This record gives sequence, structure tokens and C-alpha cells, in this order.
Amino acid sequence: MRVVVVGAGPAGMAAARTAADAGADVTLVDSEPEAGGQYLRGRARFSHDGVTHLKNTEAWMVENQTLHLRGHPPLTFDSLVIATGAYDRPLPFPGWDGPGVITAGAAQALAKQGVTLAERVIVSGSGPFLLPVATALQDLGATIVGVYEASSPTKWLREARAIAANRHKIAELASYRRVLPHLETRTAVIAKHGSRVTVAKLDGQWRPTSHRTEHADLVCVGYGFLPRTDLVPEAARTNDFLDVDERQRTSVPNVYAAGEVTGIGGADLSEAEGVVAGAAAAGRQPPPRALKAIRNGRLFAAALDRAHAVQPGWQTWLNDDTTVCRCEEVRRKDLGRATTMRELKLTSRVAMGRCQGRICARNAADLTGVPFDGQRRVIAIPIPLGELAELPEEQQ
Amino acid sequence: MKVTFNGLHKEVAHVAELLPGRFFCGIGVCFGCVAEINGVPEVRACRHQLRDGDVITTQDRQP
Ligand SMILES: Cc1cc2nc3c(=O)[nH]c(=O)nc-3n(C[C@H](O)[C@H](O)[C@H](O)COP(=O)(O)OP(=O)(O)OC[C@H]3O[C@@H](n4cnc5c(N)ncnc54)[C@H](O)[C@@H]3O)c2cc1C
Ligand code: FES
Repeated sequence: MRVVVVGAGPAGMAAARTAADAGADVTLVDSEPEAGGQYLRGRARFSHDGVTHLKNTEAWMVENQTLHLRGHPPLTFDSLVIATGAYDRPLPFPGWDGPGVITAGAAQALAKQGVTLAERVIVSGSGPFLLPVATALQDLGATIVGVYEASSPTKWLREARAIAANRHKIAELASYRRVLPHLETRTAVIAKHGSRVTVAKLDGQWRPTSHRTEHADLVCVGYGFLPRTDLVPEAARTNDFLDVDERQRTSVPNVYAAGEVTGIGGADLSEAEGVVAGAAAAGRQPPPRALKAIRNGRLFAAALDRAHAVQPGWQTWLNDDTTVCRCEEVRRKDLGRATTMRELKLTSRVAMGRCQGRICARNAADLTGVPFDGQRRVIAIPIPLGELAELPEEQQ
Repeated sequence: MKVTFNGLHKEVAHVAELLPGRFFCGIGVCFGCVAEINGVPEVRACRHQLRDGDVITTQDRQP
């Protein structure tokens, strides 16, 4: 049984280990120099009997039972586990495409390398991930001007069932108490010009009700996450996250998915999904403990999702000249009137640049009312033409 | 790290400092940080471990 796992984060490592323990011949493919994914970022020392770890290797296409890699011959598999994780969703505002604005995940990734980029920092977005990011920046000596949460956390109180099943998650919050005094809810950065940052109080729909000016050199933004699903463009999905059954099977035969590509619920839910996917991919029954951890974790994930869902009022933060697509410099007023994503792309060039819409497509769809068709691209990473030309003809 | 950026000598702790307004997602997704590094075109700088002596050139973004 040949099992290939893409992504060496908590989900992928667990899937690889579990499949190997079940006797499968496992290859773990990951783009980074070390295992760990976003959460552990190179701090995991991964090595496991029966698992070959291909580091620094990006997967770019699945074709039947073959996975194509950059700079490495293709791998054939009996089962494939997609554990490619997620990335921050930014929301555009005047100045978000200028210097001094990065995603919260980028700030966290830099902090893990000991770098802060600036003295005075704001973290603005929605979701519990803002707190560890602010804590990491503060630990490195940055001055936290504010941590702005666009949602209202009182919504949490209505989620008693999810909280009771996940007490350890609530305990985690205590480790962020030093940044809590900087936390303001129903608040967001809605413009930045140089170091002048416009901070607004929001209503329940995230429309500004009042604003003030703060001074900061760096604004870190993250309004939840978008999944990295591009290896399986045809797989069924909900809100762009891959649909899976109780064994982590996707709608594509022999393809499983685990971790944040299926929904956002933290590293421990990702790991439990990895265990189930790894067992199932190797043809074994998933362990009941992991199945239970997934049920509990998903209660929590669903509660998070409800409490921190992006509200449409963000669309009032932009003006006509605000950039929507960073690659092709498409402004809001350039979006025009389209009825499908395809038409929108062709008429405005939004989502047609290097990132292929990963950053802007969702926001452009929301701004125009065009149905978002998920991130359906043919090729997961833009490949220099030279590399494509080197492929045998039938693979192109 | 002592590097050459667009022909100028610079000393930086991280490649992100060289690319304000371009370094954005930090994890290889947005392609904002694409540059030529040590002669290799189209490298996502955020995925490159900076070393002394690196030569980084940002390409013209015109079509
Ligand atoms: C930048 C960032 C920083 C984060 N920091 C924290 C944190 O500090 N604390 C916290 O609790 N949560 C953090 N999170 C949330 C975190 O993503 C999850 O809790 C957890 O890491 C998800 O695990 P995963 O295994 O699903 O995916 P990930 O950990 O994201 O692992 C996916 C792996 O797949 C690789 N990959 C993706 N596509 C390909 C491809 N095509 N080919 C090869 N490899 C590929 C990625 O490089 C990555 O190594 C962060 C998220 C992001 C985006
Ligand atoms: S900063 Fe986004 S790809 Fe490098």
C-alpha cells in the first residue's frame, strides 16, 4: 500500500505516522526545509519508521493516481492525504497594499524567526489567533498599540456545549493574558496612511460607527483563514473547505483530507483528523479516541466559525480607488458588473495575477455579489514555463 | 545579514525588511515577494533563508 501525504503540519505528520504504523509505505511531501507546518514551524523533529520525508518539495498537481512535484520525479499512490493547511484571509482597506501591512500569519511566522519588523504594532482581524500573534510580537519587545477584534466575544457565552467539551482550549487563553488589556472588540483598522492608522468602532455588521487615529508602523491583519485546496480543484467543498466523511475521505476517489483544509479548529483537531485519515488511507479502522477528539473539536470549530464569521459591513471600509487585487492592481471601481467569477476575472483581471486569486478572489466575489466558485485552479503553484517544458508531453 | 539588494549594499535581519508592501502572507501563498535571488528568477523571497552575500533583485512588475 503506497500512501502519499502532502503537508507536514500537525495533520500530515499524524497521518504519515499512523499510515506507516499500519504497514503502509509512506512518503510525506512538504515545501518547507523542516516538518512542523504553521503551528510548529520547523520545530518538530520528524522522523518515523516507514516514512520517507521529502523536504523542500512542492506538490503542484494530482493526476489520477500520480502526484506531480517540483524538482522531483512524480510519485504514484494508492491513497493520497491532503494536509496542506490554510492561510490568513485579509480584508482590503485603503492602504492595505502599502508598506507596513502584513497578514497576522506572516507576523507570527516572522516572530518564530525572531523578527518583528517594527516598534509599534497593531493586530486587527477576527478570531482567537490574534492573541498568540500579539503575544509573540510583545515577547520580542514590540509595543502593542492595540489588538482589534471585529466580532463580539459575548457570542461565545451562547456556545456552552462547545466550551464544555473543549476546556483545554479555554485554558490556552490564559497564556495570552498579558495582551488582553490591549484587546478591543467590535473594532478594526479601516485605513492606513503612513503611520497614521484609522481605527473604527463597528456595529454588529462591521459598519464603522465612529473612528479615531492611532500611530503604528505595522498592522497585522487576519479575518480567519482560507484553505489551501488547489491540489484537488474538483473536490466537493463547503465555503471552500473540503468536504470529508467520517473517515476523512473527500469526494475524489482515494483522496483523503485532514487538518485545516477541512475547517479551522486548531492544531489538536488537525492532528486527530490526521490520525483518522492516515488509518483510513492505509485501509485500517480509525481509532475511536481520534474519532471522539474530532467530534469535540468540530463543536468548537463550529462555535468559532459562528462567533467570528466575516460580516458584510467590511465592504464599506473601501473607497473606489482601494486596491482589491494586489497582483494586478485592480481597484474596487474596476470590478464592474459581472455575473460569474469567470466573467469577473476576464473583464477586470481580478484574480488573474501571480497569486491566482488566493488573496483576492473571495473578497472580489463578496464585493460584486458574484457566486464564489471556490479556488478552482488547474495548477497549484505557478510554474516557470521552462519547468513545464521539461515535463514529458503527456503530463502537460 | 549583508546582502546586495537592487545593486545596493544592505544589512538586514530578514528579507521582509527589503520588500515593504510586497512581503505579505509570509508563507508562499501571495507571491508578492517574488524576486530574483542569486540569479534564480521568480523565487518567493519569504521561502528563502537569507545568507550573507545574497544578491536580490526585484523584477519590474510591468507586463
Ligand atoms: C502563517 C500561520 C501561522 C500560524 N501560527 C499559529 C500559531 O502560532 N499557533 C496556533 O495555534 N496556530 C497557528 N496557526 C494556525 C495553524 O495553521 C493550525 O493550528 C495548524 O498548524 C494546522 O495544521 P495543518 O496540519 O492542518 O496545516 P499546516 O500546519 O498549515 O501544515 C501544512 C503544511 O503543508 C505545506 N504545504 C502546503 N501546500 C503544499 C504543497 N502544494 N506542496 C507541499 N507542501 C505544501 C505547508 O508548507 C505546511 O508545511 C497559523 C496559521 C498560519 C497560516
Ligand atoms: S510573502 Fe506571500 S508569497 Fe512570500
